[in-house]
Amino acid sequence: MLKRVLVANRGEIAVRIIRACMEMGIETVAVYSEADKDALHTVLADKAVCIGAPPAKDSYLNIGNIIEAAKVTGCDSVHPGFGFLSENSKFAEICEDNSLIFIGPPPAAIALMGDKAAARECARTARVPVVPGTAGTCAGPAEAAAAAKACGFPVLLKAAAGGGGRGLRRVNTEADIEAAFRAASSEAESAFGDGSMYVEKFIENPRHIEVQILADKFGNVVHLGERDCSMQRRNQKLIEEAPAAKLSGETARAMREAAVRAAKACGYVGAGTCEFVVDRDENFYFIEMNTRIQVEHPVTEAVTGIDIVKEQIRTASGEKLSFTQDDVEFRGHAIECRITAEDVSDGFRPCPGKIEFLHFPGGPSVRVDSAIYDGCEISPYYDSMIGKIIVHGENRTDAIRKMRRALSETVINGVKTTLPLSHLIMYDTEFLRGGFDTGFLERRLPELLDIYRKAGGDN
Amino acid sequence: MNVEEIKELIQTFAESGLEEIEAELDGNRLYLKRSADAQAQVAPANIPGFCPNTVYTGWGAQIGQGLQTGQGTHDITNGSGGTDVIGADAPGVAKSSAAVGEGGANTEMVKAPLVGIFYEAPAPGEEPFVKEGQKVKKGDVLCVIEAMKMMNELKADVDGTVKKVDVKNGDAVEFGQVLFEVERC
Repeated sequence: MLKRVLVANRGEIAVRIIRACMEMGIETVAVYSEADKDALHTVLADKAVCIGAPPAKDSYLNIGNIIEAAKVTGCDSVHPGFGFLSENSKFAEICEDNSLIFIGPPPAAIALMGDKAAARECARTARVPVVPGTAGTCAGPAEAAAAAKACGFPVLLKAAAGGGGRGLRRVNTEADIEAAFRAASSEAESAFGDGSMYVEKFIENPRHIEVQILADKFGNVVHLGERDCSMQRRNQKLIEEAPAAKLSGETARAMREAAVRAAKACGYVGAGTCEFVVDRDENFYFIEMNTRIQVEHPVTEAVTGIDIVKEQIRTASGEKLSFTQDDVEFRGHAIECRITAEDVSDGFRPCPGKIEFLHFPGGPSVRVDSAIYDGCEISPYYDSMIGKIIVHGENRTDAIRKMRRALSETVINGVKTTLPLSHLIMYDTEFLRGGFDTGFLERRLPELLDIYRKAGGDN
Repeated sequence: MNVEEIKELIQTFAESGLEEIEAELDGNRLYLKRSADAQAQVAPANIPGFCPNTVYTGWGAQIGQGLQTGQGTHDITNGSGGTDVIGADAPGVAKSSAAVGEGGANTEMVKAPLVGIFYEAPAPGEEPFVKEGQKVKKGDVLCVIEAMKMMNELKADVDGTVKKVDVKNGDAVEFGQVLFEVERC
């Protein structure tokens, strides 16, 4: 079993990892930038090491300082959390070179799934349906045009080194494709250091449904069911649920099994997520695999009772999964609302600032994952997510009622947040019906904001 | 398998570093697994009077083991002696020890630009680069910080006199930690 983990992250996920380690009797070392010297994760860990100036590239992306911090504090392992270095296969390799167990999949699996075009091919060979498009990357605009004609316009030009909704460009007609390809490729080159592109058929407003998997070093892979993450604005998730509502049992089963096949095909170890798009006819297509713990993991934990972070730690230690697929049971329904410090009335502009007054909800089946506290500063250097509120109900209606109650009692003064919008959505008919697609917010946001203003909402 | 054999196996297992073991003897199967809860009961290392049941007992244990560097083994004696030189346990607690001076308008606080091990001299047994009271010029090497198997020289940014050396040879240092206080002249 691991003895001392360096938590190479910050904010609520660092706190999450530290909590799991504390419960397992594992010591923790936190790292922080100068902007985070009073952050919660530095307090909870057994030790904390300052690793650099506030900008992420100087601190949370500073591989040298992070590895050195792990070594001088005698850590035997590193947990990368999500974002930052979590899907950096080079970092995973460097950990191994320095005798630090990387709590995640092998570097090869990270690299494979990090190349979105190669990941598609891997899924395809595992008999996992992929969005119609190119096999691998395009040699140039001509090949992209040919592929686009084959699968039909509109298409998405995607950066192989992208992912998470970045490096995407929609192309509607053949005439536009050459210019779009060159522009997208050079953007990708500067953003990701790799201008390789591939083409996928553009599926209009699909549902975004993903499957959580867990794997050990002995080749055992299980799924923990799916999550519906269709409530998104510009590819950023706002609300997530488990299980997916209005999805036939047959499709859910097929997706779950496909995810397990994909994970086995790339030699996966640890916690990972296969993302799919699902069209109106319930055809599902693999788009990418996330080789890390995800923000929305709590909804899966709620319905399965399985602590995913602890399983990450156990599998990284070399333990076998202590349960089989048959042991995994699903109970009830869970919803998560992300809280981001953004002004919904002003184009979701990030609102750094100081928390003047904080009251989080409590009560049965309510969970809060956050690193903020009364009087703490939200700095502008990192992403604006400041916490998550998760509820677990006996069914979806029960969960929605709980979330309404939980959000209504939550007070976060000092910064503007997306909470009022999430609260409003909990009363929206289309949301209540379930089965909404990723176009929901784009379509309905102006109306929702209007209702909010008319109701005297002041954020 | 008789009771004595089982007890012996349990005892041997408990004393070992194994997590789980499956044994089959004479058609009998025995499966032992270390409970995660047992580990959670380990006493925290920083409560006086407790004997920590963990392998790690402080910085000294790590550094004292001798460090393998690209230039060959650099044997550091127990420079920090088990004192916490890194990190605070709670916000508001001063990062460096109380001995770090207040500074002052004319004092240059020389801080570590990276995380690593502080060495006062170019090699073990040699004279330190600088001593307290010594005059330095801009560009003079003050110390070496080892990180990622590379030796990084830290040079003075100003002309002045070394008022104080705030760390000891072999200390692990973090980004921003005050290493020297230099009175500018």
